[in-house]
Amino acid sequence: MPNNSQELFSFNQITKRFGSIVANQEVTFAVEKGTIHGVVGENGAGKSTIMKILYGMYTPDSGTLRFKGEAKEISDPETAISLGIGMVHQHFMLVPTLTVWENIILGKEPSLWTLNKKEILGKLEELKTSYDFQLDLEAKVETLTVGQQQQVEILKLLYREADILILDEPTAVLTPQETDSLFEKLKKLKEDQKTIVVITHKLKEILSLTDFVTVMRQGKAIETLPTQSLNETTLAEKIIGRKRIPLSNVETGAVQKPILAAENISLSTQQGTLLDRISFTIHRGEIVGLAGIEGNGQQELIEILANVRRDYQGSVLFDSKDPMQFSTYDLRQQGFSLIPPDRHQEGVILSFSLAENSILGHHREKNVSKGPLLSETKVDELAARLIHSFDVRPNDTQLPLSALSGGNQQKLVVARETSRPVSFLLAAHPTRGIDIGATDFIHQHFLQLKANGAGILLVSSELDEILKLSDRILVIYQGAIVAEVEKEKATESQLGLWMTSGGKVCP
Amino acid sequence: MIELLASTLRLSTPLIFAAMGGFLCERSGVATICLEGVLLTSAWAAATVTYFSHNPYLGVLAAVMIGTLTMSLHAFLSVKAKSDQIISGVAVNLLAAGITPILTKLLFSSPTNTQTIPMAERLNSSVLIVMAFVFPFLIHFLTYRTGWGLRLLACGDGPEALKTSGISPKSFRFVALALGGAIVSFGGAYLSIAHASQFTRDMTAGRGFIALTALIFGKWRPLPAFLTCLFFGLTDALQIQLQSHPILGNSFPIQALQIFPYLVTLFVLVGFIGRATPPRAINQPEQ
Amino acid sequence: MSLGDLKKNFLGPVMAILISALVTSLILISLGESPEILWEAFTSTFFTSFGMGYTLYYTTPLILTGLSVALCFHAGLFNIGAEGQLHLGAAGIVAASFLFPQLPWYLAIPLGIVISFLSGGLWGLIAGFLKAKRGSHEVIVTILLNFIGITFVNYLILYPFKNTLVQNPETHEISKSFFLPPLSALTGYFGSEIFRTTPVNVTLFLSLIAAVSCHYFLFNTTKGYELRTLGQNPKVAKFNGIALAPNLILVFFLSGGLAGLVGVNEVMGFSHKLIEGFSPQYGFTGIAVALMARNSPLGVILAALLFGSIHNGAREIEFLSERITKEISIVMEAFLIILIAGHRYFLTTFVRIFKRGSRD
Repeated sequence: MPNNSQELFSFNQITKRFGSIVANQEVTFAVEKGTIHGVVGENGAGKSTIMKILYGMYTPDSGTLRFKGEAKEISDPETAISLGIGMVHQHFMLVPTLTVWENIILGKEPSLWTLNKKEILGKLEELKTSYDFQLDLEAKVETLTVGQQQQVEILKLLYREADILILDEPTAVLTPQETDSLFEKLKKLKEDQKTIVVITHKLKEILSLTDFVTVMRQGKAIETLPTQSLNETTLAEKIIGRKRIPLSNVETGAVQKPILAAENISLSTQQGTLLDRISFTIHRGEIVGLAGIEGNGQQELIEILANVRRDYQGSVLFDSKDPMQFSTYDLRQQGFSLIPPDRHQEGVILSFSLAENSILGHHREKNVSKGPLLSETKVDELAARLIHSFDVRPNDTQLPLSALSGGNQQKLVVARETSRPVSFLLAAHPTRGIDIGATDFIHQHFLQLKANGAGILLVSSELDEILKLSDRILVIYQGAIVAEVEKEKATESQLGLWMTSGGKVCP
Repeated sequence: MIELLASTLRLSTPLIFAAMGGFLCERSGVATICLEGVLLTSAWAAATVTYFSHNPYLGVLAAVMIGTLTMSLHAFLSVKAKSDQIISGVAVNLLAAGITPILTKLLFSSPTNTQTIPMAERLNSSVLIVMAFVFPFLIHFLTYRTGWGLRLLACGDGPEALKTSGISPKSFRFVALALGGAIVSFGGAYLSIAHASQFTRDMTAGRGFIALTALIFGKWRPLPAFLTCLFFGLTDALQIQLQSHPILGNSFPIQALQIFPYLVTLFVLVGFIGRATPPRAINQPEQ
Repeated sequence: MSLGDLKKNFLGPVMAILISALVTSLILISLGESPEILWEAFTSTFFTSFGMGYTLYYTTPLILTGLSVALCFHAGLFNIGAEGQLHLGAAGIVAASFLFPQLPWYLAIPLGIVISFLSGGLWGLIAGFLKAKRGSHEVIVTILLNFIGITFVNYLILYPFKNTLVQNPETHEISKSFFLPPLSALTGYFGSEIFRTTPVNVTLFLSLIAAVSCHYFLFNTTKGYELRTLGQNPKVAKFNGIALAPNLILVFFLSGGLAGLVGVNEVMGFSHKLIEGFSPQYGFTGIAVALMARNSPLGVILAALLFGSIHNGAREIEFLSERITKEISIVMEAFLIILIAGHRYFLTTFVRIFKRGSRD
């Protein structure tokens, strides 16, 4: 445990419930001043919740907070801000239609009446350069990259003279290069005697950035240790509470017939060229990984391949047929399965029951419907089968899907999409935001599908996942394929370079 | 020609007030389809109080109070009670449409009109017309050049950002809607005691919706919305002129002319707007 | 249905009704009337044959407009245009009757029903089409179409269809083959006097069939599933093979058609002609009905009965009182909408106040 005299703030037996869910249970740990402290755990472990309590967004049901040696109650963000606590959330809290400087001063404007823009810009420029941020203060936030937006968030905190910066999953949306840049800035802030708390589930970053780590699991703070005492394996084991089951590798057979061929797919809109002559072929019995930072054309490519979008040039051949002759629905019937990138906005209806979600996209099939009529009993039967085979919990078919954790929701989606004959699976960010247990399950299932002769296109920004599963890796950057490499020859740093600069920078 | 211009000014005035008030409400992230109801109640209040007090300025005061109250009901339902904002707006409109005839009948023994106000006690239109033409610029300045305006824009386009900066979007919306309601009330007062000389049942005749259309057409910006209101005022002025035209007035049934403004509004909405983007947070209740 | 289900589905509405009644009584008192009137009106609307007849006559169109609004809600759309759609439906029947006066009844009646559905449906379809093709917000479009549609129908009543022999703003009578019998004719056949001289007619059965059909359509057909998915999340629908545009148009057509059927109740089943202003805001009340029923087609039947009785009761009140007008029903409806729309908040607030009160 850290030396108490250095302690800046601490949680003591904090418990917080949301309805019947216990998000934090008697959480106790302390953070030292002038350190970078990591709070690590799987999704749902309670790490965001405990830090939001510090930031005044939630009030604990029991337990106390100690701040600078005294017991304190922080009941709203305003109080937290006045104590010098600032938080950068996982999903940025910026107003996209306003400029950088407007976002920074929001809530702490020099005046509620007329604003002296020149004066404000002058002050902000000073702040900006003193910490070596490179931003255009007059740019509209919606035009910035994710990394730049994060800088705005951090500047917001510095403008309010925060001494404690809490960052929630800061690298979830950054490229490796942007991550390095962020870490540099954080280390500089630490030198300036600022205290930084980083909430994350990424092991590598905890190890490279933090001085101390608190491991959380199922709402409890399990341990707090100096980071030097851990390595990736021991840290992972503490997070999941048991040893990880390694993936059982499946025999890679000889490459079979092509199942999906894309040729010179291009897409140009008012916003510019979104896709630039993309060509690739996927064969049955292979997993091809498409690595890339989100926003480089993957969404458009997925929509084109899945027949959701038809305004492109070039051609796609699915099983030697032109998919445009089918409707979006009918393409599924041909053996084309899709795990969409954004589960909540594309894959499920949270307010529908498990049963109703299990027929989404397959609701006209003969096993549940007869002509225009839908049979409730048959739908229920199908749902029960899917739930059983994928161990979805809780297993009540009539529950609304929103009652399930993200991992279980995604398992249902994967079950739904792969429980009928699949010749090709387009899996987009299939394990994003999912706990390790469900992730391993889904990965194992993909390997099984491959062994059964399906071709899989895995679109992901998680290099770990890509490297673990793919036989071949393609990298997409600014709408074009900039690299293609066999699994054995691929390295993380090289892939990262391609993902962030298209390979135009010499390594 | 001059007559047409003057008529346009007169007919745009209530629309402008409604659109400017609606601007503040919608920009704070609250869908406001009850401009109609607020116009109606404020018009009623103006006519009734002016009749009994013989003082049009008291009438305006009453209009502002009642109109603000009406809009605050919508604010309460939408923001505090987290009701769907469209439904809340419909409810307020219904309430206004129902309660005004009842109160009118109670006080004046006829449910359809209040007693007419003598010429001398009516409100001077010019004052309100000038106000209507100044307000859009005031609102523009308030929104785009002040700290309060910054918060207004944030409330509608990024309430989460406002919240984490320590300001409650809920409280802010109450203020914005109260202010918006007050502005709309001027339009209502104008209708019943400046433009006309009494309150008549359902006298707003869809003006609240036309103002909303102007706001949408102006892409939720005060100055374009203002110009659109002028355009709609012109259409209305034309329709009235045609009715009294010697030849054209008699060859069309009156209904065709009555439909004209609504038809134009519909064409504008459909033909030229297409997919307009409202403030991001509209009709999304606070989490 | 378990106790929990009952509580969930009925507690809110029942409380809302009681509170509305309370508020209305308070309004009546403050306006100088005794709330006894409310009780008198209530009993007469339900417990007399005459009152019940009129109540059911008002319930019929409210079922239809309630279904119209509820169906759209399931697809995530607001149909505020039922008022215009029902006017067009009614006008369609009159036009059909004037065009084909010589048809025998077994052709005329189905024709009348179909035409009213089609007329209302086409008017509703305009809103669906505009939303699908141009993204125009259906709330404003349907409201504008109300003004346009009603004015247009008024034109028809006052000019081409006008019955020039009378002063009233009404059309000629439709041909007898289009007449639908009142319920009293049916009950009279069995020797009963019930519902005599009341306007309730066999359209009531049509509306009940419509409600059951809607329920079945939404929950037991693939198309109904698609519409509901669309209503929950259009993007998810798109990704899973459910197209936006054709379904928008379909659902507005069906909704408009349901509203159009109101014409059958009025023109074929009661007055046998079209009178200007025949609709006491059936279209807007339909919104309250749908809300109260939480968009459940079967629940709409009950909610429509409630609102039908409120409407009838309001007429009674106007009759019994010198000071209150029938608009009191609109006020009560508005309160009901307010209470239902904010019910979660009101319930939790009352519970909190209750708890705090009982603790002290």
